[in-house]
Amino acid sequence: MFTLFPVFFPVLAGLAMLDLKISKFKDREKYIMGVLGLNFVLTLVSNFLFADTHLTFAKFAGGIEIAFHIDSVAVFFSTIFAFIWPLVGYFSLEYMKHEGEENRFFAYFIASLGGLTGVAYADNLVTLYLFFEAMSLLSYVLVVHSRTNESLLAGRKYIYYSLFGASLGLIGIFYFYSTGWDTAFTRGGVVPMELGGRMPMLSLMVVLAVIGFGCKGGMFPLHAWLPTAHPQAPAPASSVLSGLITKAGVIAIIRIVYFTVGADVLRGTSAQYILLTLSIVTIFMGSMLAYKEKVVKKRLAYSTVSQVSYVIFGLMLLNTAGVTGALLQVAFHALAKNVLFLTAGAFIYKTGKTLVSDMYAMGKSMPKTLACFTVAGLSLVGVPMTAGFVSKWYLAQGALQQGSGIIGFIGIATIMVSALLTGGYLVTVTAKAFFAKRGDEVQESFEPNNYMIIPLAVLTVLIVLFGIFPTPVIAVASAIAQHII
Amino acid sequence: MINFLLPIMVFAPILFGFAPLFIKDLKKLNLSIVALCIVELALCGWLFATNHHYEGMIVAVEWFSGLGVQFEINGLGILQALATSVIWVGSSVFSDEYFDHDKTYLHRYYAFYCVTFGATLGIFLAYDLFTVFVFFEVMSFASYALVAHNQDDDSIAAGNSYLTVAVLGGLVVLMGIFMLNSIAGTLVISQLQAACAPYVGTPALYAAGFMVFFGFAAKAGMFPLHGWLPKAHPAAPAPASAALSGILIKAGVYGVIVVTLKILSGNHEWAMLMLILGVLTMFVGAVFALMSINLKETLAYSSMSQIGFIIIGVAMTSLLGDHGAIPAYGTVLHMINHTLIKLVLFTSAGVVYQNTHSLDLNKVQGFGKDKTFLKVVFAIAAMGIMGIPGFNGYISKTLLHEGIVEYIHLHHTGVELFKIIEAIFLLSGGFTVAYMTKLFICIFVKDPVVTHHKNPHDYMSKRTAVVLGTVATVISVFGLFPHATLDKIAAQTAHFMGVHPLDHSVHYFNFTNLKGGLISITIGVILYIGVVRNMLIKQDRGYINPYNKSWTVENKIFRPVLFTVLPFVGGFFSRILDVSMDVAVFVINRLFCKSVEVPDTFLYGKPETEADIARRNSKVHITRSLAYSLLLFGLGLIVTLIYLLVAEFRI
Repeated sequence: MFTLFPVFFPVLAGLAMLDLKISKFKDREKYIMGVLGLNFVLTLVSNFLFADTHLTFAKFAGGIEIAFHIDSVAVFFSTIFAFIWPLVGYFSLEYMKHEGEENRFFAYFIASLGGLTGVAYADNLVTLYLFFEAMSLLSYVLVVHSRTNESLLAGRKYIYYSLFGASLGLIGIFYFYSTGWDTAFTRGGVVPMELGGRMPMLSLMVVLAVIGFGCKGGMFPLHAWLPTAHPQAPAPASSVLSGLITKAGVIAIIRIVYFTVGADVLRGTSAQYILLTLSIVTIFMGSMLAYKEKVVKKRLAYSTVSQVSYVIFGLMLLNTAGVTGALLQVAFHALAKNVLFLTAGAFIYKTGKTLVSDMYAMGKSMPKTLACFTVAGLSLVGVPMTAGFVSKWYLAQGALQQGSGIIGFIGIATIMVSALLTGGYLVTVTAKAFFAKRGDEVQESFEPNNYMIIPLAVLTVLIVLFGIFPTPVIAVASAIAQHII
Repeated sequence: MINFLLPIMVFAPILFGFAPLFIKDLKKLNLSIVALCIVELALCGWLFATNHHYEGMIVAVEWFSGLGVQFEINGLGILQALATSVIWVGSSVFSDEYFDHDKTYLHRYYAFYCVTFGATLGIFLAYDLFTVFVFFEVMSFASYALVAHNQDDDSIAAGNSYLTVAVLGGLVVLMGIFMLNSIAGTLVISQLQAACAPYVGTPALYAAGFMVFFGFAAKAGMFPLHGWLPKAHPAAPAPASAALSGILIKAGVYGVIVVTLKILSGNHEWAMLMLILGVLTMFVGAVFALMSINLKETLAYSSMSQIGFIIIGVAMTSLLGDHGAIPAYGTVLHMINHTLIKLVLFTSAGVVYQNTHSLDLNKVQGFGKDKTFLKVVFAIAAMGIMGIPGFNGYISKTLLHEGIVEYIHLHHTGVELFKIIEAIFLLSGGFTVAYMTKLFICIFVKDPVVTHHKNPHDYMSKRTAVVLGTVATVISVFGLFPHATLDKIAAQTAHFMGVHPLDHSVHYFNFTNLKGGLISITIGVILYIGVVRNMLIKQDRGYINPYNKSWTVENKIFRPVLFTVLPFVGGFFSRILDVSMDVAVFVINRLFCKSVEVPDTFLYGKPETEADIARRNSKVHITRSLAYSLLLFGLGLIVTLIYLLVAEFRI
């Protein structure tokens, strides 16, 4: 039972804040950092001491179980979540000062982490679905935090899309129950190789379920909530929404493709090609629209649409290198996107401006913040010596392997075009911020305080560190990839 | 020994990029950088002199960047690394006085200056293309900070072009490397030739080769990707221009050499393409250099033109195969000679700029009339680049010319094209003579139009004078004693260039070879008298540039396509995809749920009107609320559950 602390402890400790109504900043800081820090330790304990434990939490009629299993995928994702969450939490302590109603925000902020960890730990489709929905509902409160008309509408759009997506996933789940195959996650899948006439139906169901769960990951065609919800949510919420909660969709896709259906069954089917095509379309579309976008957070949201589809592309290649690349992209995109949203948050918090063009000429004014922005931007482009390069390299290896065919080549070419556009929408900002015309530079200092700088610095250093010494992460990712294929 | 040495040589300058954070005193910072560069120079020199000991030794840094970077010492690479250190010693010595008048952001400049140095060494010491790529990217991004350093309109525009080329070129190279890796199965430069041989002529290898070529050619400033070059050089500070022109564009050439002689080696079509592009680069650069009225812009176009000469050498080496020693030597030597010459010329231009604060020929005119030392040094470098016998440029140009002549001799038929190319080659040499004469006469012979206040003895520091004097001496020694110096240098690189070393020495100073030089000089004199004096200098306005600067390939084709047409088309289709789901929701609502009006706000995020709010608050609204839909959704779940339970019981 101890293993489930990382799931239930944040939910309880978070929602307790609604009742505790902590009014002093220092007390709140102690409480939040205490809870998130303790949760990080608990997650590590669960992940590494109790790894590979199966746990059935409850059984319902009809063989429906709420069950958990801490396998390598769960360990990988939940460690990332539990590590980045406290950093964003620390940042929010300062940021939320100007949004107000901190208790409610932090209550749901911490609780969302529990829901997300639940998604990672789930051992069957029903448990996964349950926590998926729980997490959507908990994070809804974060999106509508400011309770302006716009944010309520954005929240509505978010929740509609999430529910609709999850219900598509649910159709897939029903289908699996109806077939009588085991729905507990099994390495290599449970679907027998000889399917006969059931293959078209299975393909359709897989496509529907992946599209449905892909909604959380901002995959076309259900991506539209991202660019609407992100600018409305407070920056730390956008940051976890974009950097981490989108990965819930990735987990669900891994669970369906690799643990329910099985890579061998899907390889070479129309389902694989449809999903690869959709992810390629998303990669291009997201980057292109980010390039055209003028509002900082919206630009970053479109960027997420594109970047998370790198992951889906890698996963749908159904080979080891592709999955390794996808998992690396999960970790490194989480780092980079959190840095980008937090810098955007720091910028909005200090200056009150929201447009990309407002960031121009700010290099002298917020050098540290924008230096972090630069490194994260270069990582998303995939410049060597940043983490993003490593994941792109493995994705390319996967895409160009024998058997991926022409679509792998198109995919990697699209990723290159997308990287070019990423250069266009992030690196140019850096260039214009630091290399503005002399005399136009903003002289007044808007540098935020340590509450904001420390999390940014930690994440940025990690980006560079993993760019230069990525070997341990690669080892972990490729071990998982070999394990699940 | 070199196991530690090579990584340290590459990474030390990159790490030294952090030094400006700690060393705040600029004099100390400059001295420490000069010291670092001198140490690197000594190491490169020593390794070059003894490079045959290290053949086949590979130094792998496996933990780096996951895939590991690998270094080795090859003949051409170590020679270029040596040239890099020479440039860096020279320009960092000069930096100290050049930036005396404006110290803004100088720490930042030095930081990126060091990183660029290390990355450039990394390119030349790399064992495989992956390592080349890693350092090529670092170099491209780091040197952006040098180009845009001045942060005025020109340098920002130049920086934008440069950054675009860096990002675009880098990604295209990466794509090419991906493909090459999947075709040939190796990226090791010395193994590429054998690994690619079975695939030469296949479309896939052409595509891979072309992509790798594209990125490097853009960095080398080859036509038609040269647009950034004439903008970046004048805009960058003079020491950075010297580095850019002296060595960074050679990194691009190095890549082109790898593509032509290793990946697509012996491919006739590819070599012809290189030849044509080389001729265009050479000639276009020369013509623009002649017309330009900006000192550094002339030098920049001159660099472009010389790159054309070098690329012709590469193409001829490929065409002649094993017997291409003459053009191969010419290629290598022209790279080295051009580096030395441009170090002197750009530093001199920097001296002119720091005294006059202008690069316009009409303003700097006559600056050097009373400055003998600068005059002599500039003249030596200018004669080097013109190819005057007795200076180093003559030797390498003669070899390049001989390469074309040899091909014509070997193939008696179907060589008309090569005869034309030979003529253009000599003509471009003539242009070189003309534009360098124009610069020399303008700065050092004519009378000043504006008074330059500086004391003629105090226009540059002793340290700079020592650097300029040393390099100028080397230029003439190389030119006067080619057999003892340049021939030996070139022989070191024969293996890398894939040619048999030359067994006889070329008689540089016999009549046949002198004839080529003399033809160029004659053309140059005619051009200077006929074109420059009559058409490019007007009585009332001084030097004029008849060419409309906005009419460049970059402005008229690349920029509109890259920044307007493609984003528009891509954006258009992406936008359609983007709103498709929202529109579908809207249409379904209108068709099937007529009573529920979807406010535009759902689609566009506009605030609700008062009527919307009133409707939202009315009782009817309950059926349209989120909670209500959740309720129905829950009901649906319960029904499903019941169905499942019933199904269960039946079984």
